[in-house]
Amino acid sequence: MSDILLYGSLALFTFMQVFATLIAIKVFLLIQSNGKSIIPELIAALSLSVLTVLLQCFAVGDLAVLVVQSVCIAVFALYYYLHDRQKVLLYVFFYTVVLTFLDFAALIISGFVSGDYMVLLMSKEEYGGIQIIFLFGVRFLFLLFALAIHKKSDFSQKQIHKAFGYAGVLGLFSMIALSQQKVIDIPADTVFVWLIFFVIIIVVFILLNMRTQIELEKEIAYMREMEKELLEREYATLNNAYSINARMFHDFQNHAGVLRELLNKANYDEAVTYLNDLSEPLETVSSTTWTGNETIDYLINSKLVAADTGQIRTEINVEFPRRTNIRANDLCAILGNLLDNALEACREVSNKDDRFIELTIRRINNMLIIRLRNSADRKPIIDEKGLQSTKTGSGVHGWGIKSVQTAADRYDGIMKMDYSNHIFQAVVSLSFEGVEIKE
Amino acid sequence: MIRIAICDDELSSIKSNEVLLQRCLSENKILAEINTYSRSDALLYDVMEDKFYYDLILLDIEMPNVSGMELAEKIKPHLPNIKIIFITSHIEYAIDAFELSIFRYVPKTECDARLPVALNDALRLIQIEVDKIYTVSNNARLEKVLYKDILYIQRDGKNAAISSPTGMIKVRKSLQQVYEELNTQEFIYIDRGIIVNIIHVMKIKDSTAFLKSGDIFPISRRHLQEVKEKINTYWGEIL
Repeated sequence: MSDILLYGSLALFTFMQVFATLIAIKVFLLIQSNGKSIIPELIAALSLSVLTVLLQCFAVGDLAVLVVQSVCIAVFALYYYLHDRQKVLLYVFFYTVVLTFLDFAALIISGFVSGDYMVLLMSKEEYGGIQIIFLFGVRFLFLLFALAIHKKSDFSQKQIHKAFGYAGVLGLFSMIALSQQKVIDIPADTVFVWLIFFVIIIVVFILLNMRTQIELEKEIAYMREMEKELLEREYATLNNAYSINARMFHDFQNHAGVLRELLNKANYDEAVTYLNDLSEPLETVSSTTWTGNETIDYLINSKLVAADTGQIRTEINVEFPRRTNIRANDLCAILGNLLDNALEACREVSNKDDRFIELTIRRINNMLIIRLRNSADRKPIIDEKGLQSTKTGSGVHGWGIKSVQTAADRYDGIMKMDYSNHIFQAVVSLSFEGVEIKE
Repeated sequence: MIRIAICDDELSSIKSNEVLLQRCLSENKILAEINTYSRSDALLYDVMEDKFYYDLILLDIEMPNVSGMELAEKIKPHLPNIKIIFITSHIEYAIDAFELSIFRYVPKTECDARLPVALNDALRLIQIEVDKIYTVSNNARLEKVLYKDILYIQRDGKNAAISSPTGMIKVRKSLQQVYEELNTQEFIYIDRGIIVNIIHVMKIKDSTAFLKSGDIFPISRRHLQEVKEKINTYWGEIL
């Protein structure tokens, strides 16, 4: 076979396999931010095929070329996708194995077709047209497959792991089947190596699957723990507030007795003084209705008292629809945490005149939009774990924001935070449904 | 221009509410046509028989003949986008989750303080996309559609199709081209082939967008987070 044909087909083959591999890795890494454009992959594949031809010119061995290709693919994937290193390397390894196996299988089948039973012992230069066609066919199918999954690209991590597991099993079985036939002689150690490869692949993906499962369970356990803690904290606050109320009610009897006594004796001045003294603690617990739900109203009112103590101006504009599926404890988690954050940030604002909290809750269509704005001296640190407390070492805060997100998740909602011009803003959007209550 | 009706059986209430409304309109620099009714059946007749259009109605609940509640119920099918502010002598009113056309309840005793807030909020929502018009030229024929009437735009082969309550308009342009021409933050991609108008999105549930018109579209995984964020940002600003 002429050199030009050899180099040409080599370049074409390399391009196809590298391009397909990069696309498939992209899909499997669940990359979405880079969009559908596959031009970078195209360029990478083209340059790698040029490199391969150059290496071939210098008579570098096949195995070395394969290693160089794998390394280049891995480097590209690592730097371009910026993804979990382990996973990228694993996928690259997987693809190298699969591609080599497909070549191997294609050669054997071509051997059946052409009657060239010694096909495995041929060197590359000895391949006839039939072998070239089969090797091309394998790459072509591989590329089609990659493009097809890229077009759909709507897989979950779990589905991908499962697919890998199945691929490993399929490979194992086909290898066993190949080893049983007697027409083409396959060296025993080749069979053995392939069998081991497939077993490794199966084991790796079983382990991966288990890791994902364990991580999921850990996350769930963590959230449960957090929720419990938060609920306890809120209930403790509410309980405290209620007990103040109860005590006041209890005292009321005594006060009434004293007042009756004073009035009976026509001691009006003293009665007025007594009443004035009394009204002070009474003011601390207001009972404004904001949402119509007692718990939530109490929460808002108690935070308002805290704001008042901290000399923080407040503006509350609440419109809350009746008969929604939004549960009071979810709304408590959202409002309680957001208001706590706002109070903490406001207390740190040095100029007391600048301290303000503005809470707006509105219904828009079937969505509830909660917006909290407050003054803040500095930009809060927001990382992927959520808002970091300005106080170092207080873990409750990051948790607080996470529980707002968890609560929002239940209603297909999200929270967004923003900071500009010394104003911090958090917006939570929830989707609700009307609930029929039988009366 | 937006159209507003005030309906109350007491002339003094009409007068005071109109003053508050005028003030809100001039503060927001909004031009509006205001009609006043002292009889609820007259308003009902205008809407149902004479097809009057209103964006906003200030409605007294306690009225003879047709009560405010009945009126709201009857005009809803005729004016699906109506916003009604109920003015009532009762305090115990909370808006029901099922009730879409009722915008707010305002107690009569607190009209001076709370009606302006309710009016400002309502006007802000009504003002969205109010005068924007998208023009489609098909075969030397011009078709116009108000932005606020556009429900969604779908890819139709190489072209795009705009859906509104009055029907579907085909445009000989790509979806992306239409998207760029619209150029407002109300329109968002929920899938490669569908753009929806945020103001008509009722809710998002299980990766599905529910539109006011009853249309339901799946949101692709690729767009889901972005759609939620855009809705959050959009309403968070307007609130």
